[in-house]
Amino acid sequence: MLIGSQTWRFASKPAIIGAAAVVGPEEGAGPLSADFDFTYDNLEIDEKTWEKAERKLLEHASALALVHAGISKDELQIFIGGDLMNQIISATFAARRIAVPYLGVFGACSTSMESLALAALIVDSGAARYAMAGTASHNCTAEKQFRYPTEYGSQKPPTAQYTITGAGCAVVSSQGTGPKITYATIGQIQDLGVKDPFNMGEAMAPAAADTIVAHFRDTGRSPDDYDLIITGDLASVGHAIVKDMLNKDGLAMAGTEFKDCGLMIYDREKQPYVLAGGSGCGCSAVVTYGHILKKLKQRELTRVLVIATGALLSPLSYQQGESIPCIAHAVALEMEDVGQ
Amino acid sequence: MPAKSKSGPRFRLNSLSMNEQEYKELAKEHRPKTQVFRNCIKAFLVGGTICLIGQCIQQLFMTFANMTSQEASSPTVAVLIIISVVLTSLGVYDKIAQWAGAGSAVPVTGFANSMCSSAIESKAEGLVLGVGASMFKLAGSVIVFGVVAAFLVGVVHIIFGLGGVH
Repeated sequence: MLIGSQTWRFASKPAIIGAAAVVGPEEGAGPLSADFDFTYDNLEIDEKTWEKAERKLLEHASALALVHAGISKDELQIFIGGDLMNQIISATFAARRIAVPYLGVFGACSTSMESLALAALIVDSGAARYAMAGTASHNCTAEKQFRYPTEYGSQKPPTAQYTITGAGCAVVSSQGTGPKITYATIGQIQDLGVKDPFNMGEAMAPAAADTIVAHFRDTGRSPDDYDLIITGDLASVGHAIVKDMLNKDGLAMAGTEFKDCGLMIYDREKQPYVLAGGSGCGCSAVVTYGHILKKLKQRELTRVLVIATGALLSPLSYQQGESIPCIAHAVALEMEDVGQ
Repeated sequence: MPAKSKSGPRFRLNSLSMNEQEYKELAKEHRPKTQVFRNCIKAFLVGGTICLIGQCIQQLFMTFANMTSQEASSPTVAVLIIISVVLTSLGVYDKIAQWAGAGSAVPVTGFANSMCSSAIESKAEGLVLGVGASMFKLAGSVIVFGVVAAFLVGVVHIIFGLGGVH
């Protein structure tokens, strides 16, 4: 049900009954390593090409998510997936193996929450009993498509981010127990003229700020209604900017924790090559489905707002001097009180 | 409100409202500075070291293979290229480059790295459409502008008839 101008309220409160996060070696060396369901020890993910590696991550995460949800593939009625590759080949090719009705979506790094919001909407409307949302990214496929060959020696500026290698999937259902999806705020494209693909945090920050403000306006909630408000992959530059913008707008993040998945997934002191922090649509997916869901289930957190941010550029658009349109989608996850 | 260029609607939150220029000002405060001076020093040291290694290799050819300095220059470049290709293949060159910046990009080793990395990257797309077609993806512009620059220098040379080695 639409509330306000851009937020969906899910009356049936669909639950995430099972989820999985599968990552590569660098994410496995980061501070959240214990929360991931599987860590590959090689960047090749035992495959011959980077593209196959990314697809395998998604296939692996989807299989594990089904196991954790306790359902068989036959019971799954829809898979909604996307990734960063041209023609979203990782999600599409993974869907070939998952072999259920499939919707491919693209929102760059916001795809994680875009697909989760759609899965919740589909379940809430009764169009499916079990829906799965999933995304994946791989450092080397992203480097290859958006930047330079992986082994090319060029110096990146300190504002650059490091695409994470990993995939996350979540099974959403109207039946079963697990963290509930209560709201989703769908973002609008924002573009404040940033053209530098090595500074995507700065490009994406206005989109995040806009969606956060819209979420509180539409729901009537305030930041202290959440234990944790977490942005997708703004990293050090973008997160500082969005904090500043919200403060100036009179929406100080008081009474809550305001974090960023891209800053949590790596230890920037020990892993200086990540520069400003992590990015990629796997970033918010593995942190949400690996780390945050576990904290919710353990009741260390009860209410979390995840705002996944996406920079919707293509290698052609920035070569032609276009600025970077950005978007952010927010999903509210809640653990209901015991006995309710 | 979608933000558009100066004349269009401004980006608005509840009370905050800004145009592209104002956003640039706000964002600038949070952007870490690229350390230009430190990068220049690093580039000087690494670039200089690569040239020094090249000089040593040339000296070796001159001493042990009885070559003149001119004869030794081609095999010297070949050895540097091989070293660069090996380091690229081992996944080391890009790490050196993140520290060294222009220091590892400008010498001949940087050119070899750009070709080798493109070739490795496009191996999956096959020999013809992959390696063959993409090897010069980065190096191609160096060759194009190198040839253009050489042509312009040649024109200057013809017009002014400056001396030089033919």
